[in-house]
Order: sequence, then C-alpha cells, then structure tokens
Amino acid sequence: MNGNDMAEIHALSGAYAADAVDDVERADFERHLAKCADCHALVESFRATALELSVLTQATPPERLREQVLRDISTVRPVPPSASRQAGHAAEPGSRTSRRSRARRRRNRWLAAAAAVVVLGAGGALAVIQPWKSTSQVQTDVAGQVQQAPDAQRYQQALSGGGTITVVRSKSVGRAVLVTNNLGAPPSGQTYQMWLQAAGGNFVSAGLVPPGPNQTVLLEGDAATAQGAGVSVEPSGGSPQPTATPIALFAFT
Amino acid sequence: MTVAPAAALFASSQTGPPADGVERNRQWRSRMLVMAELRAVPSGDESPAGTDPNARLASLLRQSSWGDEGAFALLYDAVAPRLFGLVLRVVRDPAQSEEVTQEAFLEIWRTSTRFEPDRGSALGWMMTIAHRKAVDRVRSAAAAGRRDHGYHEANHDVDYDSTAEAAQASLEAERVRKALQTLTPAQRNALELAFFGGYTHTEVAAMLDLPLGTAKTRIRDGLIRLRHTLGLGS
Repeated sequence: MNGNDMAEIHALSGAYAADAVDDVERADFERHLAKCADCHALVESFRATALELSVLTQATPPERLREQVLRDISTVRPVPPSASRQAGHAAEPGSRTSRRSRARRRRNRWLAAAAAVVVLGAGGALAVIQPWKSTSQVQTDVAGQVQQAPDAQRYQQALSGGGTITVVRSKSVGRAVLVTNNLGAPPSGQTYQMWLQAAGGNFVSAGLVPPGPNQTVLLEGDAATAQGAGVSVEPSGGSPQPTATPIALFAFT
Repeated sequence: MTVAPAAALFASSQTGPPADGVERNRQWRSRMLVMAELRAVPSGDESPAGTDPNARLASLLRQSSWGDEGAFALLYDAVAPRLFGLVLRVVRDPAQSEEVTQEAFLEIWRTSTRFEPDRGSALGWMMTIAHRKAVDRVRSAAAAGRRDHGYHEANHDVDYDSTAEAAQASLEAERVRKALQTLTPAQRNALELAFFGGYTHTEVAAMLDLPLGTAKTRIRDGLIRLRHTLGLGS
C-alpha cells in the first residue's frame, strides 16, 4: 500500500465510524483496522462522538417491544466468546463461568429433584451419601458452616400469618440455609417448598422444608451464583416449578 | 452481616388465578426485578457500578453474557429509549423500527460474551449494533426501491419522550445541539445525512453536489470538531 492509498484509507475513518461506508469499503477498512492501532483508537473516539448525537433522538419504545425482546432472549443462549478473546483472557472468569454455570444449572435440576426425594424421606430411612455420616448430619455440618462463614449474608422476612423466615447465604461456602421461626403448619396435603433463583433468572427447586415450626434446612443448589431465594406453599411432594405466589422472596445482594 | 428489611409486599399467599409453572416462574422473576429496582434506588451504595452508569451497563451486560435474563431486562430498561430513538430516526417507519430494535437487542444478548470493556463503553457497543442494523435496513429498503423520503424529512427531530429522564436528557441534548452548531454547515449536513440518514459518504457527496471523496473528509472533520467541543478526548 503506497502513501496515497494509506492517506485515502485513513480519511475513511470518520465515515466508517458513522456507518457511512458501503460493504466493500467496510471490508477494506476493517482489514486495515485490524493492523492499525491508531485507526482503532480514532474510530472508537469518532464512534463515541457520533453516538452522542443519539441523545437528540431518544424515544420510548412501546411496552410490547420489551415483552418481545425478553421472549426472544429466553429462547437463545449467548454465543461463546470469540476464539481470540478466549486465548487473550484465558484466566478471565467471563468465558469460563458462563460454561460452568450452565453445567451447574443443569446439575441443579437433578440436585433439586434429589433433594426433594431425600427430604421427603426425612424421619424415615435417609439415603446415605457418605458411609460415615448420614445425609442429615452432612447437611447440618454444612448449614453450620454457612451460618458461621465470615461472608454470610442474612435476609429476614416476617410472614403475614406470623413467624419469620430467614435465609443465610455464604458465597464462599456456595450454599444457603433457611431458618424458620414459628412457621405455621401448611394446609393438609401441602408443604413448604424452597427455591433458588439461578443465575439465568429461573426459580429452581431447592428442596422442601421439613414439617415443624422451627427448622434449619440447607437449600439444595448453588447459592454462590443464585440471585435470590423464595418459599411457596406447594402440593405435598413439591412442584418442579413454583405454582403459587411466594410467601417469602429474598433478593441476594 | 446485613439484615434485609421485611417486605410486606409478598406476604399474601395462594391468590390470583391459577397459572402453570413456567408462567408462575416468570411472575416470580418479575417480582425479583421489582425488588432489585427498589433496592437500587434509595441506597445506591451496594457497588461501584451503582454510581457510574457506564460501569453499571457494563456489569449488566456481563451478567447477561452468563445467561442472566433478569440482568438483561434491566439493561433493556436502561438503554431502550436511546437505541429505539436512534433506530426510529434512521428507519422512520415505527413498525420497522420496532423490528430493527428487537433484532438489535437479540444480537446484543447473543454476542454479549464478546463485549470487551477495555475497548469502549457498553452503551457505545450496543448503540453501534443498533445503528448498524438500522442503516442496513434503510439501505436494503432503498435497494428494493421502497425508500422515498428526502433530505428535508431527514431533518425533523423525533419527539422527546416524556419520562422522568426527560429533563436530564434535554440538558444533554442542549449540550449536543450547541456542539453541533460549532460545525460548519457543510460538515453538519454531511454528518447528519450520514449518521441519521444512513447514507454512504458517496451518496452524501451526490446529494450535496460535492466532488467524490469530499464528503468523507467533511464527516471526519465534523466528528473531530464535535469530539473536541464535547470534550471526548483528543
């Protein structure tokens, strides 16, 4: 590329930033952009400048657009990071976590289902995970760890029918504990079910609250990435998704 | 340890019409969003992202890239008027503008993993996607022979929205309008036709009776002056 061509392509930086180039020019310029750091910085600053013009044109879209957009995204997952980015930021949490949390979410459903089964059997024969400790013993130990963790966060809510529900979450332990105080018995044929709001926003079962007014129970599922927790009254045995309005809802911070 | 205030808001139980699990899950999620917003408004001290709007957008975008639809809903609420307004200005037809904005948001969600905060602002990144899509739309419409408006129409301002941000927005708008006045009329015309009209610099040159190759220089010079006046770096 001679000097003239170079000056020519540099002159295109403004038009490129304003999207005022045709497809051929765009492709040419982007090839140049990939190797010219000066142009890159220039284009970024031009772009930021041009975009300032959009404060002149703000307009509130109709509400249906929001609904459509949110419906759209629930059917598509974000693409993986580009190969160059993965190579450049191998240690960065972004790319890894997204994959890990997806795997975790899949696992959660199973864990949650398993928890429901285990807790259902509470008082009877519990499945023994470790030969030297019963499941309930393991749960109690972890529940203690959560409550004593230096980073434990406590969320409390009073219920309209009396009693309180407290959720304690420790990111470092990665689990949450639910503590009931004077909780009224659920209507017959029904049970209190716990939910964790997964990173994706969905509430996933975190197990059932054992009968009794004062209980301390470990929520099944990854509480480190959860955005919140909730409790609802569900048919005995629990539901795969909440079917009732929450009696308590906690947003993790 | 923090103790969150009891929320009487959610004390009722078993009310409302029956809903299936998926629908109910949606309702729970929107309640959580309301709670998140209530929490974000009064305190504002939870994270540095709460104070810097750009950092907040970058953080919401990042959470979205992990599949967090709730974060994306907040992101939508924060930027939709900017994106939709710009698209509407370029595309003009409200129904098509909605379509284009919808496509832009889906693209933002899909490629949120590829946003790199050290290479530009989150808002800029999202606006670029929306602007590019708007320009593509008017150009393909032009190619299909459906584009019939001229330069004069392109000079109308879209009405401002009347939301709570309108006052702040109008301050910002005033600043940008003043900055635009520091451009020569030739620079301003070229820049507006390019950015709001979606015309290529070659088309702009033809529309303004300029020698070929002059319009791109005017666009660039206009941006340089605007950048300086708005204090956006050298």
